[in-house]
Formats: sequence, structure tokens, C-alpha cells
Amino acid sequence: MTGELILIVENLKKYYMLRGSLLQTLGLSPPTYVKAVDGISFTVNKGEIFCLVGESGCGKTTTGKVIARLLEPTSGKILYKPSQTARGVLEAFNYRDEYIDIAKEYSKEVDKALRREIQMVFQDPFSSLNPRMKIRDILEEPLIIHKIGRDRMERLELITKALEEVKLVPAQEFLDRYPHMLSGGQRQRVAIARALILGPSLIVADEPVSMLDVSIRAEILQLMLEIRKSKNISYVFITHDLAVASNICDKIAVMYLGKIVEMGETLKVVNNPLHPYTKALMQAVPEPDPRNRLKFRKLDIKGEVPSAINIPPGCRFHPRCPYAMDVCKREEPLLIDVEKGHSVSCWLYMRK
Amino acid sequence: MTLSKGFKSIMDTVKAEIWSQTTGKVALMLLILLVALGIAAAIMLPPNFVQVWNDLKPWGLKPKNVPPQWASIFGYACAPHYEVDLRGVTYRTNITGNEVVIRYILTYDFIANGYPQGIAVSIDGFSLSAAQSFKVTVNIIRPDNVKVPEVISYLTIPIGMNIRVDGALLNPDSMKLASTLVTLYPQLLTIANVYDIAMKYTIYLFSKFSNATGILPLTGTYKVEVIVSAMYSNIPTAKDVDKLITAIRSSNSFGFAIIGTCYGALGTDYRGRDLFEALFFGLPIALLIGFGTAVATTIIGLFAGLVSGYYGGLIDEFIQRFVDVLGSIPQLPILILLAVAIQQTYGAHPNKPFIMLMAILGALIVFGWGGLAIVVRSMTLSIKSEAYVEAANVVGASNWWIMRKHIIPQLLPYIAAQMVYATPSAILIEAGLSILGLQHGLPTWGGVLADARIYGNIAYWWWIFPPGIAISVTSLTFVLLGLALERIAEPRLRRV
Ligand SMILES: Nc1ncnc2c1ncn2[C@@H]1O[C@H](COP(=O)(O)OP(=O)(O)OP(=O)(O)O)[C@@H](O)[C@H]1O
Ligand SMILES: [Mg+2]
Repeated sequence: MTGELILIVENLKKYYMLRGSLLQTLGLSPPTYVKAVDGISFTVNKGEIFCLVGESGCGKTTTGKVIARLLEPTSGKILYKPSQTARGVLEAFNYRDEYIDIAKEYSKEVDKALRREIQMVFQDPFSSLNPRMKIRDILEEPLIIHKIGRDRMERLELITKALEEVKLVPAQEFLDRYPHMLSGGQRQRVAIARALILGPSLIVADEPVSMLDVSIRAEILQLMLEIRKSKNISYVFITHDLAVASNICDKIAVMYLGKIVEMGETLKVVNNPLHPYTKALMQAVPEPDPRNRLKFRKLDIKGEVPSAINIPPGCRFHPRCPYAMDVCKREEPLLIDVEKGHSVSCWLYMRK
Repeated sequence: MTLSKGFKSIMDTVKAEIWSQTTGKVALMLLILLVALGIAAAIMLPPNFVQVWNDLKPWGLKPKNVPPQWASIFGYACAPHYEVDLRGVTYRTNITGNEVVIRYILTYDFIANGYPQGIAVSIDGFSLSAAQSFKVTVNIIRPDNVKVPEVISYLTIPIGMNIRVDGALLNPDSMKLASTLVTLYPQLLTIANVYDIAMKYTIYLFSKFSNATGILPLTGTYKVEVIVSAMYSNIPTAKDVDKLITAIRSSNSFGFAIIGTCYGALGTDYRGRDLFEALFFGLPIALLIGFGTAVATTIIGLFAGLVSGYYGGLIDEFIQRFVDVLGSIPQLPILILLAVAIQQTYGAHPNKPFIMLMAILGALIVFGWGGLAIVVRSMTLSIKSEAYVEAANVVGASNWWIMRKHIIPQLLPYIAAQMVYATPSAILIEAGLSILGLQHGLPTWGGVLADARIYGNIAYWWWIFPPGIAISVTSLTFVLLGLALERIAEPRLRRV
């Protein structure tokens, strides 16, 4: 899918500072950082599903939260192309460029306009809905905050519409329920409705089905695909499950220890994985054949993911890589195009 | 505009959430009742009530240590209390020789439901000039038409030019009265000796005697003659009569009483003070101490805890250390020291009770908020990292919105607990201070209980139970309110 870019992430970094020793607190020795995201770049097209995959702890959620503006990045740019509605507000505050760097801080009004544009769906629908609020109040919250709808009746209409959009019908039946009266799938639908109700252009979905029963994952994914279709919404879709990713993503970026090691169109990455890490991940995908469902092929990489505090020098994958060469220990490889729409960061593919 | 909207939404919540539950309904009704009574009492409170309460004089004519009127339902022998303000009743005057005589004729119906506690005349703030002597005499004419003369007799002479009578409570000279009775009824001596008669003069004064049956109550109408007279050096004129009447009228108190054995709605204490007044006027003070402490500690604790937990950093460190320091200071010794210091500094100051009360209130508040602040802080810390708070952040919620919509509602049970706990405990601490002898002088419930402990005994139930019940009911109100609030905050407790 070619088209306009809605999101351009450039060399994004997010380091968490750890509460260190007394010397560190006093500034006498350098602080300890967790380099959760360590310089990643990618672009997302309008209406595209861009997937971030990788093992636990590789920085997927951190990336998602930075894009959703829950966290401030340590450095880097996140250029976002505002929709027509947001543009109106932004121009009133003299932001006339085609893209706006959402990594920066803005005044309250601009901030609000941007928040309407980018929404997030969280991993755990059991904790992302306040158990003390009725469904109608959960969905009314964004409307009140953004002063959408003149009165309760008008807001109720919008809420009903949103519930219908996520197929919670008849909506009346769900309005006055509390989250604990819904199933996991229904809760995630409410969470999606909350993300949709402000009419965003980009949704960050952080493992939206990983906490759900296997039997209902497909339904939720199907729903997200339909929404993408009907509203031309773009997704940054986070998952650790390559099977899910290969089903719904247009583009896949494989992350390892805060870096993107391979990125490209889904078919290319899935059918022709280049990076040793991607290859290993692909092997970890369960067999499509139902009879062999529970058999995982062994990853042929050794050891555990190193800590994000102590990142190995050179290529950060080299301690576990079966093909590790001398150069891998010394220098970090760049992310280079191997074919059109497929890039990898590995010395094996660097033209010498 | 937004304020009235906010108020309306609070009222709506109260109506929908609290009123719909039985506990909530009872709690609200009790609360409204307490507050209404408290406001009524505060409005009706005589300006000098505290002074009057602590003053011995005005209580002289009231029965002492007697149960309430309604005790008669339970078989208590309740002799009614009969009290006449002589400044306002009709009288006859005449001049005999050098004397002006004013004669009051009162009638007392004795129904023989127990014998009265005593007979007394009380005079206060009386001043008469130019007279040589001033005399008060009480004669009683019994239903059998026998006149008992000089049941009370009192004579005084001027000091300097003036006759002044202040805070005088005139009682019968019981030995003299006994011998008068024996003279009138010689058969009495076969039934009792003079000392007996003197000790219990009301029994004999209101009884008939026969050798066969001993003493029996003599029911019927007793005529009481109160004679007030003044002696002059020459024959008095009509002007002197007027002067005496004016002197009586302009005194602070000039009354006669046949003191009963039951009084008022809640009986009396050891000084004959009406306990109903103490409890009624003690209500606003109790509410002030209770509500004041509860509301102030809740607001401070909530605010400090929220700021501490939500913003963290230096301000958090500062608040937590402050709470630690406060927590390590023992409250009671500080309160005692404070009370003693104020007693020393303001002992004679007319506003001392008020100053002391405010100081106690202040100390209760200062020491009362730390616990809540710690709970609120840790709750805030944990709620702040919940995914639904992040979700609200993504949606664009402000800090204040998140506190209001996501954090504070979950704190309601703790807020309610703080209210429930702080209100009665403040009232009890105040009572405790009173019992330790640190009386601020206001007629509080604790003060009444403290008096009961020192001057009462277990038989004086009307003195012990009502303040106890008052404190309990106030606490109960808050416990019920707390339960009702908890249901709002925890929808899973709600009946669906
Ligand atoms: N608030 C934080 N403070 C310090 N370190 C953090 C914080 N949040 C995350 N990290 C660290 O940053 C790294 C990346 O975390 P992140 O949650 O982004 O991983 P993830 O890819 O989403 O993992 P998962 O698949 O388990 O959700 C991890 O090493 C994690 O321990
Ligand atoms: Mg994650």
C-alpha cells in the first residue's frame, strides 16, 4: 500500500533512569539507564497496520507509549501528520507544517487536539477499564474531557454509536453495566470503543489480544480490521506473536533489545526472514497444522535476552547468534535495504 | 454557575446512591436531625449560658440529683417541682407600725406522689436603701387548717446605708421547724423524735399523724404565705412601699420553691442544673468538635496524601517526613500541656472556654490527619500506575480529572472511615480531657460525664446514660454514613 505517511519516527530513544546509588543521586557518578528503546526509525502509511514484534522486554510497549504520548522520549523525532480537523486547531496556534513533532510538549489546547488524533488500546482489558465506572461513564469520559456533545443525550447517542461500532449490541444492554459484568472480549471491545469515540487517525494497540481467550482473538482482530477499513485508521500494532502479526500486518518491524533488527512488508519478512533473530522467532511460531499445534520447534539461538542496562557492544544480538563473526562484536550493523520494502540490520547482509 | 451545578450533582448522587439504601436513609435522617438540632441549639443558646452554667447561684432553687419527670412512668415517686418567681405574682401590701409588709399568697396542691426534697426562697441582686431591717418569712397553712408559722424566716440589717442580698438561698431552720411541728402536733413525738423530724422535715410538713397508722401523706391544697417586710425608723409612706416593690422587681432573682424530686426532660445534676440544657446546648459544641476535626483532618489528609502520592519527589519527601515527626509526638500529653498553658494564661479571661476549645480543636486537627495522608498516598501511588489511569491520560485527562474521577472515588471508604473514626474520637478525647480535669468550662457531653464520674454515682442513670447515648448516636450516624458511602465506592457490593 503506497500513500501518504501519517507517522515518521526518527532515531527514537527512550532511556529510563534508575534510582541509583548515593553517588549517582548526588551527581558524582553517571546515572544508570535502562535503554528500553535505543534509536529506532520507521514510517507508517495512512490506513496501514504497522506491527512491532519481539520478545518480552525488547521495548515494544515503551515505543507504543511514547507514540501515544504517555511517555516523553529521551531523544528523537515523531513526526505526525494531523488530520483535517486537528489542522484547524493547530493552525490557530501557528503550527502550519504538514507534520508536527509530537515528541515535544505543547500548550493545553494543542495537546488536546493531538490526543484526539492518536489513541491507544491496552494489553489487559481487565485493568484498562476502571472497575468502578459503568460502561457509559467510561465512554463518556473522553467526550466530557474534549467537550464533545452538547448535553448528556447527545453524548449518549455518540456512546451508543461507538458501542454498535464494536458490535456490542444492543448497546442499551451494556450502558449500565460495570466492567466486571463483561467477558474479556467484550471488555476489549469497550476499550476499542473508547479509543474510537474521539475519531482518531492512529491507534496504538499494545498486544490487544494476548490476554484474551484464544477462541475470541480472531473476532477482535477481525473487528480491528473492519474498523481500519471503514475509517481508514492506521495502527501501530504491538505483538509478540508472529502468527498474529503475519495475519493482520501490512508491515512488520522485528525488535531486539530496543532496536529494530528487521523490517519490511509482511509477506517478505515472513516468507524470507533474513536476520538470524527473525529466523529463530519464525521457528518459534506454532505449526499451522492443528495436529502439531502444541509442538514448538526449538529456537536455535542460545542463552537469554541480555538486560537492557548492559547492552552488548557491537551487534547486540551477537552473544546469542549462531553466525556471529568478528565484526559483529565490534561494530553495530546499520539497517539497510536488502530488497524493495525489506531491510535488515545484520553484517551477513552488509555489502563489504 | 459551576458551583451550583456541582452542588446539584452532589445532591443527585446523595439522593440516588445514599438515600436508596436503608443504612444510608437512616444515616441521613440521623445526620439531618443532629444538624438541625445543633443549629436550633446554637440559635437558642443564651449569650451568657456558659457563665450561667458555671455559676452556683441561679441553680439554687432546682432539685439536686433528681431523675427526669417521665421517670414516674417507671414507678419513680415524683413529687412535682413547684417554683414561683415572686417578682411576677400578685401581692398585698400594708403598713403596720414602722413596717412595710408585702404578702404573697401561693397555693400548692400536694398529690402525695412522693415527698418534696425541700423548701427554699432564693434572692439575688436585691438592694434596698434607708430601711433598718429586711425580713422574709414563709408560713404554710396545711389542708387541716393548721398554720405552720415561720417555716422559713430570715432577717437582715443594712451594712452602711444599704441592705444587699446576693446569692442567698433561704432554707428552713430544720430544728426550729421540727419543734414548731411538735408544738402543733404533740402526738408526733410518739411516732418520731425531734431529730428525725428535723432531718426529714418535708415528710412531716406534708403528712398527717395518728398513733394507730403513724404518718400518712396529707393531700390537698397548702396555702403558702410569703411575707416580705422592711422596717423603717419612722412611719413609712406609700413611697417606701413602692421602693420595696421596686427593689423586689429589680432583683436578679426573688423566688420561692417547693423543691420536687423529678425535674425536666433529663433530670438534674449535683448542683441542680438541668441536664437537658447541658445536652441540648452541648450538641453544637460536640458537633463542632466532631465535625470540625473530622472534616478538617479529612481535607488536609486527603490533600496532603494526594499531592504526596501523585506528584512524588521533594514535596512527597517533605510531607512524609512531616507526618513521621507528627506521628512520633504523643498527642495526649501535648493536649494536656496545651490545656494547662491556656488555663494559666487565660484563667480569668471571659473568652477562656472558647480559646481553650479552639486550641483543643486545633491540636486534634494537627494530630489527626497523618494516618489518612499515609493511606491516601499509598493508594494514590498504586492507582496512578493502573492501566485505566494511563488510558485516561491517553484520552487527555488532566491531573485534577484523574484525581477526581479515578482516585478520590476509590478513597471514599477511607475518607468515610476517617470521618467515622475522627468524629466520635474527637468527642471522646474532649470528654477524656474533661475527665482528666482539664475543663474548658463549656457544658459538653464529656463535661457532663466527667461531672457524673466525680459527683454522681451509678444510681444516677439519667446523668450517665443520656450523654453516653448522645455520643453513641453521633458515632452511629457516621458509621452508617460510612457504610453507605462504601457501597458507592465499591459497586461490587451493590445489589444489582
Ligand atoms: N518505568 C520503567 N522504569 C524502568 N525500566 C522500565 C520501565 N518500563 C519498562 N522498563 C524496562 O524497559 C524495557 C522495555 O520494556 P517494555 O515494557 O517496553 O517491553 P515490551 O517489549 O513491551 O515487553 P512485553 O512483551 O513483556 O510487554 C524492559 O527492560 C523493562 O524492564
Ligand atoms: Mg509490553
